[in-house]
Amino acid sequence: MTTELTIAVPKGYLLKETIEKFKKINILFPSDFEDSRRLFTYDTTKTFKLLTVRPWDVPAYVEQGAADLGIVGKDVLLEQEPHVYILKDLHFGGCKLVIAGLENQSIETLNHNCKVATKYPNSATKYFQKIGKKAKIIKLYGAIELSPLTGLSDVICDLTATGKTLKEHKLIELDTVFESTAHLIANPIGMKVHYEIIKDISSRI
Amino acid sequence: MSKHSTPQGIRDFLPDDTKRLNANMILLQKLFTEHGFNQIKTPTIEFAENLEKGLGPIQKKECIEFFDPAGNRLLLRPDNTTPIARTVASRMANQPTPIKLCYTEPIFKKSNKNHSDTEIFQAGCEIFGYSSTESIAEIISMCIRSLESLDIDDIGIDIGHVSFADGLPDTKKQALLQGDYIAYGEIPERGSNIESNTTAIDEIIPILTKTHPDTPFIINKGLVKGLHYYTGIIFEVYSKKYRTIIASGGQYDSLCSLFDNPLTAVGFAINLNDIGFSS
Repeated sequence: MTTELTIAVPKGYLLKETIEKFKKINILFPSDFEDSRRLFTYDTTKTFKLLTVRPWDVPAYVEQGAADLGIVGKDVLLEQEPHVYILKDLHFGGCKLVIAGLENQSIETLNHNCKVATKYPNSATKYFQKIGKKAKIIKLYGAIELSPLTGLSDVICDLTATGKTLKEHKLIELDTVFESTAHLIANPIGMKVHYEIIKDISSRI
Repeated sequence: MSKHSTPQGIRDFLPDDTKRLNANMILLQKLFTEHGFNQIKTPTIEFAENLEKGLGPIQKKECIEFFDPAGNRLLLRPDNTTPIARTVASRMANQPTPIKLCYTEPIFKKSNKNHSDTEIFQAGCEIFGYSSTESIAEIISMCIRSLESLDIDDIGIDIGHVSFADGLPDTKKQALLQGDYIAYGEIPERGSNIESNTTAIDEIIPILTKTHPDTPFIINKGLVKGLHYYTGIIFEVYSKKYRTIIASGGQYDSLCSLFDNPLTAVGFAINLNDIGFSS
């Protein structure tokens, strides 16, 4: 029985490079797909189905088996800890999760029970556990940089690639929680059904 | 509509669902009995210190735990095999071997963030005091027949062995267990023609392919289990349609000795929660 192999990839900044990566190993998706509003497409051989979903939703698609493979930032994997196989670091889409605050703040001088605004409550909690401080995590869904300026939190724990947005909001990096790149992940059953082909993709991509 | 709900991970079985679940259980009980397995019932609640003998760190965290009035830690059984091993080792030690037992009972695990089932109905068989590879083949064969009788016809079986993890540093074992193949260093080898380097697997696959020519038996070097009690062959059955591991089992020759009565053992369990239901 041959079934098509479904790949969930994140919309946004990882999508273009993902499609390029597949092109290099001769899996060709329509070149106009990035600009279209369609949510899925097939490669030229109709063997691979590509789903574009929100970056934070990639693990759910793969974990539940709606997709066999997924491409997702390590930041999302560490935050969600999904039950999937992690196959390869694809070394693109580099960024890091940092603790950032206003000038003249430092990790050492942060009070116990300091307030931390973040989209990454799990990773932030683990970080503060590791450094032996109790933090009060405030979960936000966006515009995290606004938080210290408005007094909502003392510091933020957020993703940064160039540091530009932080700078614009007068925030400085106090510490790096972890660095992140795009990773290839697989559904455990999809991995069994399509073992050879997934192993091949993973070795070449 | 009334909005009185059930806790996360706990579901009601309305009459149609109940009919389906019970029919599956009755069918399996009949099949097990026809093949010489006797039904056993162990208690839902046991002392934590007894059941924890068989559990790895991940399973311990998934247990639902509480206290009795004397302050003893109790668990809802997270697994059927350990309670049955305890019962056999402590109450049936004088019986002639092999002792063939079967069950259709639920196990209980904390629901995860994806609302996984807390109450998981299982059916399974165990052989205690077996002495040959044939008994391991008999267990795997029973498992396949059981699934066939439930009309699951798209299964594949991965066969592993605890020795596959021999000599690996603890970090690599953990990486395998978590499916982190970057940390492990490679995607584990898997295929029907790869070298198992394991006598038991080399013996068992020809027996199984003879009796079940249509079932793919695939050696998986990455198949390891979080349960501490496995001692030899481990197997895992998946269904393409259900997209899940629907049954698993293996050899656990040292579990009974943890209950002061050394007896070899091999068994399997099928998860019945999703079978036959359109989820």
